[in-house]
Amino acid sequence: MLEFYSSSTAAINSKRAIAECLENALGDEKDLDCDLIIFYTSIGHNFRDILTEARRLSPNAQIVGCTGAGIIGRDGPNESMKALAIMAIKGEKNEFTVVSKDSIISFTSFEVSAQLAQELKNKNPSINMIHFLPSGLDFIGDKALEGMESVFGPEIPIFGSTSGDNMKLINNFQFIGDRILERGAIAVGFADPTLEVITQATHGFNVIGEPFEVTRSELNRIFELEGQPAWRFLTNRLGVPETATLPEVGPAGWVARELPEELNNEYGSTHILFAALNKDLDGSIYTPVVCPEGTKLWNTERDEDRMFKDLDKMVEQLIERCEGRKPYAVFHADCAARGRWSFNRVLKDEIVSRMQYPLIQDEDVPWLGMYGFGEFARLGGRNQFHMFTTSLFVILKKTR
Amino acid sequence: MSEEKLTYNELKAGYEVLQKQVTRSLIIKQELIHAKDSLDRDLTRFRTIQTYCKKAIHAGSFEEFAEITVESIIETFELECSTLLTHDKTKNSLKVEAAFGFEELAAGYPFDIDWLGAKGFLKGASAFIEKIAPDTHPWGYLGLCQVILCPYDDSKGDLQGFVLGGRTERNQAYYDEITQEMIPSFTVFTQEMSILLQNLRSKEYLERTVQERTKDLKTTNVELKKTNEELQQEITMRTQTEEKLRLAEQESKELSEFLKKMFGRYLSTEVMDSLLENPSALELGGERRNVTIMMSDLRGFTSLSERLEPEQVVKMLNGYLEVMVDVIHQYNGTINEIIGDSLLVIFGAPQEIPDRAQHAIACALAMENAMAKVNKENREAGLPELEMGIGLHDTEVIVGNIGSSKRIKYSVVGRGVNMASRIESYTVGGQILISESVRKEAGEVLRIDAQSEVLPKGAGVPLRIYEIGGIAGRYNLALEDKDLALVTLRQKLPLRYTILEGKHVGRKGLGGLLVRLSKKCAEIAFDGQVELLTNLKMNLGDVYEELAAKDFYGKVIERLEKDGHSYLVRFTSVPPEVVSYFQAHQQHAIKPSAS
Repeated sequence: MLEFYSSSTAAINSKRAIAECLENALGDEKDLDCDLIIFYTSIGHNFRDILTEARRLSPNAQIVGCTGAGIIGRDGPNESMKALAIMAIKGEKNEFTVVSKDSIISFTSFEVSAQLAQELKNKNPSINMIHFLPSGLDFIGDKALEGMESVFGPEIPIFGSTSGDNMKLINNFQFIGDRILERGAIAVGFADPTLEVITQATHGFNVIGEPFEVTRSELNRIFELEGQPAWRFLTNRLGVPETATLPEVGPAGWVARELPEELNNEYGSTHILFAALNKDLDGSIYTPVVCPEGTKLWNTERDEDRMFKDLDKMVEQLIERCEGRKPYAVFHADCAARGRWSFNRVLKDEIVSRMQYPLIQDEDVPWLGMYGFGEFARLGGRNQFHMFTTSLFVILKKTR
Repeated sequence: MSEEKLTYNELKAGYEVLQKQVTRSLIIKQELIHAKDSLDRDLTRFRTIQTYCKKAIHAGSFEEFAEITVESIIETFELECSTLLTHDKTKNSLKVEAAFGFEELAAGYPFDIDWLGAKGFLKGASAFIEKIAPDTHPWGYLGLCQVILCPYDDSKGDLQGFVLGGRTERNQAYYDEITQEMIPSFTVFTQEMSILLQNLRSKEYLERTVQERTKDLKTTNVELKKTNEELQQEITMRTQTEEKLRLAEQESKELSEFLKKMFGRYLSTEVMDSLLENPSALELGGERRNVTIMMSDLRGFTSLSERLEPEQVVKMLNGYLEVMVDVIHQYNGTINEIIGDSLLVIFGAPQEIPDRAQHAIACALAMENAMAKVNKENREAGLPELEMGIGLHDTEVIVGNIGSSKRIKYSVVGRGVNMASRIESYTVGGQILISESVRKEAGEVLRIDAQSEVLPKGAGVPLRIYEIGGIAGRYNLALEDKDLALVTLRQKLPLRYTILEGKHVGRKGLGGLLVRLSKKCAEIAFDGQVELLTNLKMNLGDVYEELAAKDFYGKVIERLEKDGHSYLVRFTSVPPEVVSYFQAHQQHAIKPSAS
């Protein structure tokens, strides 16, 4: 049976940081060696130092990880340039499998994801859940999930986050063994038959105003909105110069599309959000989801009260779904924009505590979270790519 | 109120305006959030500066302090790289004390600061921001694109160095541009650092001083320890020496006790003390000294010792010496020799005695009188009675320590010793004879009972000797037992005699009659002439053979005038069987008669 241990640190010396994490996570064990280390790091760390030191301290462990805008551990969030969190896992070799691809882009999102899934399945057909950490830039989340499901079917839970940077939207990195991948993808397949995962996401945004329509698009690239170059339309609608950059526009530029009505209750919203993560010189924008022509989009408004209320509701639902079981371990993905772009330090701490306390209370339950660029959590009985959500992935021991 | 009806286009235009205002409000709201975030970060910076202060104040060394500082710059300001620089006045350059985030910046890399001086940045207490163009800026080679620098001074206001934070050309896209908002907090950080550094320097100075003092103390301690060890050694040596001295003293004491016990019986207290207190007296050497020499001897002891068991002889001799030695010491005599029953005693050496002759004569009288005590003990012990003769001679002799380094003896050498011995040889039991020299030395205090002339062997002229009966003056002593009460025997007892010395020596088979008899003397009518002081061996005649074979000895001490052949003979040794025979005849004697 897999065993999970977690820790996080704000130490800025990368070697010291990973050592501190391992010592804190496995300090009660006889040594720091384990079988799998999953780590999330901010973009400012020295990745090579982390990998080298992790290998030195835990020579038998498989090491995987990715970058994000920050981490969320049992001690709360940290969005500094040098934040690090780990989940150290002990288990049998047949209880987990790790695969990677060193490049994934929008057009290859389906194929690369399908290949990853196939590799996982080839190595271990018993995999019953997948932790997915692909690049968060120039990537199509829903196509990637389709690729995964094409191998494992829609039933297999896929949870995780897309990698990112510190909201500069420049690059992201993945790590496997001693390799550093750029805009690649990592997938960890768990095959412990005694464990299961339940996932849920919430955003807490309101849609405002009248919708506008995608009038010309190709996969995830939107050329025109309402017949105008997409970026010009968006900036004009927001009242900012067309020369504004994506980070400058920020959450105001986030848009929403309608969800099927039957999912509204589960999701706590009638709409699902996404944003442009890149724009081209021709004014077209790139989103992490496929946007067919005719799709109606809405501007969105960040509603702080609703964000908290919907979060509470989601946590209540998760607790209900735990059916009295104590979470065995928790993975957590939060949208990078829900960090410092949305809340100050106090509110961020409040958000995290409003998740952690009801779910795990004061129990020593491992918790590994990341501020990423997109979240993978199930909705309506299948896997769903989200943005701007808080997504929790609660590992539970199966009931017999 | 009239209602103005708007056309569709007007309504649409109005809607779009409202829509823009709404979406614009989103932007404004977001800007507010950013502003709040900025404030939040600034607050966090100051909080982190506090944390830095807490960490840095505990730094144990400048290296640790510098490392904490550069890491804290990164943590506080979310910069890519940082360094702590110190100003080298002599080279007018900056030296890297610690750096973080630079891939190629080695510690000690020289930083040119001319441009800082030109821009007036060397003076001032506030941070400043500098963009660094890689090709044109003096620091372009460092790979930096932008830095924030803040100088720090010492307490006198002299430039000590700079705190630097920055971002590199390579990673500048990930790091926020350094803006003016950072200047206040960076300045505060640097000022805190400067104070902490001065504090550290003071601490280091104090520690160094303490270390030096401690080192001095340690050195002193080592010296003290060494001195202490030397003293300990000295003490140990002294203790050992004291112990040796104590042992030596003990040995000396024991030796003294031993000497006193063993030899004190034979040496006077003065000689003993002189030897013990002044070991140099033991050195070989001598001196001429006028002394009175006493020679004593037990009459007939040789023949007596042949008749007794050795244990009896020794017991008897020890009893005799015990008494005599006490008397001799009482009169400050120095027992020079004990040869069997003979004692050689010196008066006047090693310590001079002004009236040595009187001492010697008084001593001789006391010794003779003490014989009563000796004989009393002998009688009680079933031992025969003893008689002692004493000869005295005063002469110049050589006295001193005579012998070898291994065996040494305080002794007396000279012809006078032999003369004393000769004089003694003329005595009978209980008799004290002195030479003319003694008589002269002693003066007119003597009671002289008799005098005569003798010619000892080797002497060229006759020697006048005096028999002493007492001494007046402060000693006032006299012989207590003269025993001259002769009784006339009813029957004269025949005897045979042999002359043992003198010009008639060796004559045997001569006869005589014993006419009168006392305990110690006899009047004998010899067949022929005998010389005075001649020693005789005698045997009884007309008695059974076994008794006739018993020898008895005597010395001719006086010629009686009545017939020219009668002499008074003093017995010197009489065996018990003969004594019994004499006693039997004495009981039947006619009457006592004075001689």
